[in-house]
Amino acid sequence: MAIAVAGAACMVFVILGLLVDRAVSSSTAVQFDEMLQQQALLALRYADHEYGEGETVVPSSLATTAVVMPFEVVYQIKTRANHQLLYRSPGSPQAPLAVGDGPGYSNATIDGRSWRVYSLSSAATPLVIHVAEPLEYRDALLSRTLRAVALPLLFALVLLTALIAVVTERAFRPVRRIAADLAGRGADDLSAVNTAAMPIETHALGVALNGLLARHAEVLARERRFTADAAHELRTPLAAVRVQAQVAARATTAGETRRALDKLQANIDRTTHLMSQLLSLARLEPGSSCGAGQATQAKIVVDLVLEDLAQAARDKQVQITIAGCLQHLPGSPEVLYLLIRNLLENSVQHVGEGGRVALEVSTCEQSAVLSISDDGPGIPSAERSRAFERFYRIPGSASGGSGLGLSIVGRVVELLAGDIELSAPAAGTGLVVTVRLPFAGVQIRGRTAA
Amino acid sequence: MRILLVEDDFMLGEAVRDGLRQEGYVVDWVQDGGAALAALSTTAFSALLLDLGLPGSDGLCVLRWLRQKGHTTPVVIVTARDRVADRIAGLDAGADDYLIKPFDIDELGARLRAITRRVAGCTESTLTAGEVVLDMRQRLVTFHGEPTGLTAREYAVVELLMRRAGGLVTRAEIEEELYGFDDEIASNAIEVHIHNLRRKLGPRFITNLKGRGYRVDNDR
Repeated sequence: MAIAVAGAACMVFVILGLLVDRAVSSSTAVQFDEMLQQQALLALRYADHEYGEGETVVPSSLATTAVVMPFEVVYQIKTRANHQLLYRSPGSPQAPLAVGDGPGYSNATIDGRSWRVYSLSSAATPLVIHVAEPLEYRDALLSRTLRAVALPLLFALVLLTALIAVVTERAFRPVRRIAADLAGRGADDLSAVNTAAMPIETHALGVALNGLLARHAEVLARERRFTADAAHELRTPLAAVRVQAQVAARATTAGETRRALDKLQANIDRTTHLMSQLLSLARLEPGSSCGAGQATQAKIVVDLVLEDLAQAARDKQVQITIAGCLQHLPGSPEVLYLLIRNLLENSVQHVGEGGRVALEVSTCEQSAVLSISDDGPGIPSAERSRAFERFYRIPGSASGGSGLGLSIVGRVVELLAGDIELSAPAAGTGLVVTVRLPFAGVQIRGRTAA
Repeated sequence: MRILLVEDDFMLGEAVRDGLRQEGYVVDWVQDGGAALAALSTTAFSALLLDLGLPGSDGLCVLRWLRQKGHTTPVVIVTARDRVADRIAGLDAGADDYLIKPFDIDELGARLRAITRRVAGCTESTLTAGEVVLDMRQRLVTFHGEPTGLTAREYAVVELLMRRAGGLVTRAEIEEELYGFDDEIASNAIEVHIHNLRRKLGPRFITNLKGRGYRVDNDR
């Protein structure tokens, strides 16, 4: 990281350097050129003056013009008509610096030296002047200037890189610590990482990571609990199946065998039911598709449930009555089936012979309310809060249920963002379960609920 | 032998009760810790079969209570908790054996016999009184080397008497050994069993101490 930042800083430095170089060289070139032009004008004025006095140019007198020249600058003075060289300043090459009469700039290379030349022709006299400056002088000056700029810049770069290295090292120390912490962890260690020392820039990442870890831990714990519970809860019915099979095998009379086999069958049915309830619950794990946003015709689901519970109800002569408006309910057919089936099955299981179970559905704009009541023993108010726990069975009840019915109901209600309440009927014993399912965001053909 | 079965699951309780009855045990079955404590405080059992996951009070609480009260009744824990830590906790709480569901009813019978023998202080699986030999492992009684065809209850009477050979066994003790809480006991039931045993094992096998009880002599 620090290396990348230092690299980036170097690159910025190089680009900056190039830009400065270009800017400085072009602006200095203009300045040098302007100076050259000034010097040409000055020198020509002197030359004109000399020429005007004697009508001829005395070369030695022209040497006085050199006084105004910087020492690197050389010049040649010639006549316009026949290009006769009248004067050559010391240091000037023998060859003419330029061919034209000007005014204007040109470049010349004479004897391996490069010159910048400004040519100017006098208006008053037939004199032409070529003022020249060696380019190497300009370059030297330029590079001296650039060096003067570059050195502090380079120093700043080194300082900056070091600073960046230190700062990033410090800033990422907590991140590295977390990385080491995570790398050294076992697969099931999902405890939060320490975000206390993290700087603001990475703190949000740490917090988000902890949020994810916490959610993951919760899901994992739930899955583990579920698997453990399931394995545990299957042991008892399996033990009963095994022992009952042995009892049947050891029976000495036909009647005894018959009774044992009947019990064995009831046992197998019970185990099968437990399995399917466990599967239902597993399918309703958070994140499963619960058909939120869907709507289902209540009548279709209720009819299915009644069909499936008909035998159990007949066996106990339980009367199930359905009332209210069986229009739309929020949720998919699957989850609504699980909800209604488990509620009715629970009641059928707990009422006595000839008991009564009633389902009433009422819908309004905002929500649907299902109310299931029976005249069974009910659930003591102290136990009601625990009734939704998995494998919870009311103490002393011999119904032989899976202990999962109300857990499934509770999970469906949770997935559909509804609420559920257990209460006792106004008169007599029994249980009243009231489920409210909101229509919020549910699309129903023909209308859109609030 | 009279066993107290503590199991909250209706179907498993029923199956184990039926299975143990087939083996000739007298089984009293209760479904929660409270009922178990009540039964234990009024009746002597040869062994206790204890489920751990009970509603009300946990099986381990029942076991601790039993041991605190100084009861030495052998206890076999029968549970779905299969972790080693659970087994250690169970044995630490004073259980004599630990059986994990699902289990074999024959295995359960064998373990019950083993721990009751251990408690009785005899490690041999056969008891001998004269020509009568009782094999506890096979639950078989032979007389002059011949199988005797005893009923389960007759066997239970013989086992109780031979286990305490040389000592007096009261009629009430035999009744308690033979009948559960729910069994109807005919007033002359014990006499009928003794009569049948004398017929099958010879008239002098059991001595009747009038009004006090019965005895099988140690060395005949």
